[in-house]
Amino acid sequence: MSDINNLPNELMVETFAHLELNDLLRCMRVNKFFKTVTEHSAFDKMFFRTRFIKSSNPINFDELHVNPALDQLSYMCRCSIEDAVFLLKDHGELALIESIAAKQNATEPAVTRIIVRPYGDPNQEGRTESGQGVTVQDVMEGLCGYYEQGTPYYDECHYNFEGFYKTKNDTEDELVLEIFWGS
Amino acid sequence: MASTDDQKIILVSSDGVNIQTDRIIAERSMLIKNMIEDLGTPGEEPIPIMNVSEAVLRKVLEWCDHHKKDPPPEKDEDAESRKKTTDIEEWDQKFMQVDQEMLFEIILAANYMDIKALLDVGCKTVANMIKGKSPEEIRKTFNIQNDFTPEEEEQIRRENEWAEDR
Repeated sequence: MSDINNLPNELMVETFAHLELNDLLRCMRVNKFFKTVTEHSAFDKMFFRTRFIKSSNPINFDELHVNPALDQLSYMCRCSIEDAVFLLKDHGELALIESIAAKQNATEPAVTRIIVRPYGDPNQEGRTESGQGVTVQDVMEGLCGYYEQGTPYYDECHYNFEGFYKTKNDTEDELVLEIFWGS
Repeated sequence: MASTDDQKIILVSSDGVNIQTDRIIAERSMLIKNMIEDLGTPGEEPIPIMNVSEAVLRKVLEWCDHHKKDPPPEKDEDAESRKKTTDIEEWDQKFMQVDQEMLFEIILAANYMDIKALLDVGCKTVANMIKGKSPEEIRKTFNIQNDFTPEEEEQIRRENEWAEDR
């Protein structure tokens, strides 16, 4: 008797390749077999989990995706990493560090160094580095560390986080993200 | 030398039934095409299709017949974007209106017989049956046992909640 439960892994991957992210997220919860299929390397890009591969080419700016998790985070400057949260549809919150997004790459393809530049000001930079590829949590930890130093004159700001933006002067393996805050 | 268009060949299903068909139809299958090339004497020797039963083989050949004049697949320049779509042409949609056992048999046969376009239609059909459904609806659709504890399932739901339905 043939059914979906005895389809070989590679054919499940082939099938799931026609699905969008939202469907893959629901598939993860169906059973252990379905979850294993979503863990296949074919979906690494979608889930921002490709391993960093050193490339001799500069970052192709137009093809680089910033993890949408970064745009959906709510964070107040000078708070700790534990306070970076996602605001959910049901008005609840989910701490970044409890979400799957924390360990995802901040970008696809992964980069080893991200400079965060609040308000796009080149004199106000924070650095985040990881040889494995910078994760979303790395970026937020870097940002927390930056504000803890207490020197920037934006120090007193307590605003909701608005988003990250790629800037154009990115070089090999290194990415500059500009950060803006909304009230 | 006879044109390959009207050459006949004989396939033997896994349950031992001989099925005669046109070479041009059967050669939609790369497995058969390669076998014919290796044998060098098309039409003389029946070709065994070990893993495919008569009912499924006839169904697969019906698809091959309808698609025998299709141009060869384009090079993979556009593979990524083509993959995402689940559009299926009308004839193929009707062709795939079969029970689930047959659907998965067709997919397995298309894979074994190396018929890329048919495999694609089969996988897209299954993908369409998954799209937009909740995990419970997916389980019901395909008769899948949930082997997660409620806690495990809730954990996965929670970890991904931020990303869903945006």
